[in-house]
Amino acid sequence: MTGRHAGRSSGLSRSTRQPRARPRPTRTWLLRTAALVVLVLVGLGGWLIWSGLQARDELSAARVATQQLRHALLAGDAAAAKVALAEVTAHANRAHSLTGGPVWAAAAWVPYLGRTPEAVTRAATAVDGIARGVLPGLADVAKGMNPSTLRQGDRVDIAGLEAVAPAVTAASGHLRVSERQLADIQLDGVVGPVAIGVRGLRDEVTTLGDQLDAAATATRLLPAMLGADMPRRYLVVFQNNAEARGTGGLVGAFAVVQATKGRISVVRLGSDSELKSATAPVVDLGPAYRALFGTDPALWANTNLSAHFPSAAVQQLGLWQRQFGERLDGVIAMDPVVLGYLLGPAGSPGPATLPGGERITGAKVADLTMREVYARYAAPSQVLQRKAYLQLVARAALDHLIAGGGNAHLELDALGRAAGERRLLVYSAHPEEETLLGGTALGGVVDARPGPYAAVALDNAAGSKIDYYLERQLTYSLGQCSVGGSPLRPSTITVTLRDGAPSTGLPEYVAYRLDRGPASTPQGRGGDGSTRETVLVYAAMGAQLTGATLDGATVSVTPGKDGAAPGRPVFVLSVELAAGQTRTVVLDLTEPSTDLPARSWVQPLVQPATSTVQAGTCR
Amino acid sequence: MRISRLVAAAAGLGLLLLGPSAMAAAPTYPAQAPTLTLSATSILSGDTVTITGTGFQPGSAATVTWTGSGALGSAGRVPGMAAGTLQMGTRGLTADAAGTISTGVRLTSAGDHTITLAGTAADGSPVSLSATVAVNAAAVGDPLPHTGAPLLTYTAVGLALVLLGGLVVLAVRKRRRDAAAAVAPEAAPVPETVSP
Repeated sequence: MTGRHAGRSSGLSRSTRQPRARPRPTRTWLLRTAALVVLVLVGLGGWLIWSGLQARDELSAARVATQQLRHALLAGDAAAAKVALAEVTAHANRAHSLTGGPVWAAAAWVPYLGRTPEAVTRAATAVDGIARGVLPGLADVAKGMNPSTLRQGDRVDIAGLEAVAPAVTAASGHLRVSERQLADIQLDGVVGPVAIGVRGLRDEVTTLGDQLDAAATATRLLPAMLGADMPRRYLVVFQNNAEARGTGGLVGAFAVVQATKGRISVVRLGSDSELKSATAPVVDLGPAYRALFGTDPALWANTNLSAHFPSAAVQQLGLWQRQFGERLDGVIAMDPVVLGYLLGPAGSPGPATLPGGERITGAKVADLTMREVYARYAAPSQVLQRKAYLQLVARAALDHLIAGGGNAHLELDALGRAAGERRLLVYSAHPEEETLLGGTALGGVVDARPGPYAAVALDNAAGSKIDYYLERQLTYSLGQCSVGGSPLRPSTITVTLRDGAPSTGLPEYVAYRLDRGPASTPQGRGGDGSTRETVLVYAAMGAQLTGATLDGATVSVTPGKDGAAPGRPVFVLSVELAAGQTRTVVLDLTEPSTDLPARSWVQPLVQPATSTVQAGTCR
Repeated sequence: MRISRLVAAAAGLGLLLLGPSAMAAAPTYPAQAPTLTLSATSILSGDTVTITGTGFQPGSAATVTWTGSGALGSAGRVPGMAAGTLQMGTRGLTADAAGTISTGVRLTSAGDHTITLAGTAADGSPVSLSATVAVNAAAVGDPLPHTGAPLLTYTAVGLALVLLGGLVVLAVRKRRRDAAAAVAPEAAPVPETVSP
């Protein structure tokens, strides 16, 4: 505007008012300088945009190559990993040099608008750091941690694991530095596509970091736990999800396995009828635990009422020592669903065969051991036959697995899935190992970490096997943060339970109502498909209950503390369910406002459960 | 009446000091659900919390005791207890035919309160159950509504400032131009008037 005005007047003065034109060259000079500055700015802006677009392409190519690298590492394909690594390094390096010059440094100083170039530069630096500092070591790790070479028949190659341990730990440490660099990038006011790109990078790096952490933990834990120095003996308990317990299900069959220098063997196999209960708990887990579970965990059937697996494991190890005078090194719990994942259908090593010739496939093992077996041996006099049959299944599955011969990658995938669903749990009686296990999904801990949290576990209170049919939904809604400056936010945990059992035709053993009377009475025999569940709802640290309803009517619940010290808030109530009935429990809570991510889970039973979190983030 | 309340209070305090006795009942299968339930663990001062106990001997006597700052309720201070250290209220109750005890307690002062239910279990053994209730000062007025993303607010304020700045610059330029026009052409070539 002003420039055009000045131009017109100067032109006019040149042609008509020559004597008065002497100051005009100053204006012209100013004008030319301004034009030059504009040209330079446009040029620099153009360069920023052009190099920014190039850098974006390089970074997204680096991200794709990182994914390829991760897959190659997981598959143990060293050649593919090497190719992918070279790509990541080249792309990251180009993005870094494109955005590393003085123009980008200067652009970052522009208030507000400078945030986008600053974010691009910092992201490129972080990716370059990963490509140089973390990834080269990983190619070696991939070769060392290839499941198919680590597993040789019934033996795990301990020396191979120990050899890669330092490289894994170093790479994991380096990656966490880059992860923090990415996390520190300010994304407020950054142009949309760039912000999306940085978030994608963060997710990718976090996933890689979690996998590296898991690998690092494995290399530190496995050698000792597999008997590198001293033979180890573990109690393996098979949990029956048809009768729910906090950690999954009632302890049914059991085994003792021994690991000596990586070689695993089954020492003993038995059924719960061989296990002797006590008259008082063998381990005192403190007043909070007693207030919730009383003396009931003195019985084998009630050792795992709490969802915190270490509480169950110490009771079980204590009872074992009391009966057999032997101190075992830990407990491994699994359920028939895990056997299903391991035996197929897509996984290896394929169906197991019973001595009589019956083939147990992955698809039917859960239904067979938790429902069909009760119909097959329905008469109360057939209890021992039923237990013997279940032991046969357990034996065949264990032998099949230990003998190996299947695809180690698929088996590892199956075990990872099982651990993520809390179906495969491991406890070590050696404290330093248990500390590491507690940080993984395998530990099955109810931790005491802060942040939004909602979890639900049931204990069958009827002594029935109706939980085979139980369907569960958990919905966790978090209210707004810091309303009116309050450090607390409201939240709601909704638990929906449906008893999908038929109301007639159930085997007697499945439909008991032992909470109403002994099995010798009509009340105790039940038979109508109904059940009673003790519902444990675990909430965020510091959560308080402001009110509770069952199907819309106000209900009282028992507040308590459970899990790793100092204990997570848990709210307990008893719910009666008729066959086909759906009931809804709603807990209204207040909990601390934090920007930590919400965590939620549902105890694994047979029917699939859903868990939904509805939450905005806090600033 | 007053005497019996004080005795009940003293008994409740005695149980508290001894700590809740472990449930003496033998372990059972299937496991029993816990027997003390509350309607809430966090209430506003002046609100009532409902306390329910199950598994008591039908018709047996029981005592509910609540302690905490400002818990002084229907009963007076326990003789011999220093004022201001631990305050408590207590109430005698009777289990119904099903062995259930239920009562409401109104708590008026902010702070954590311990609620203890002591009596006789169905099998005749003594039982004491306790839980904690947080009493919050009642909110004054409505909480402020959440204002949404601050980024938008800052952006709007920033834009307004930029616009305002632009207007000021334009206004100044216009005034300068007007002033220049008013004195031109004579005043515009200032150097000429100085030069000889």
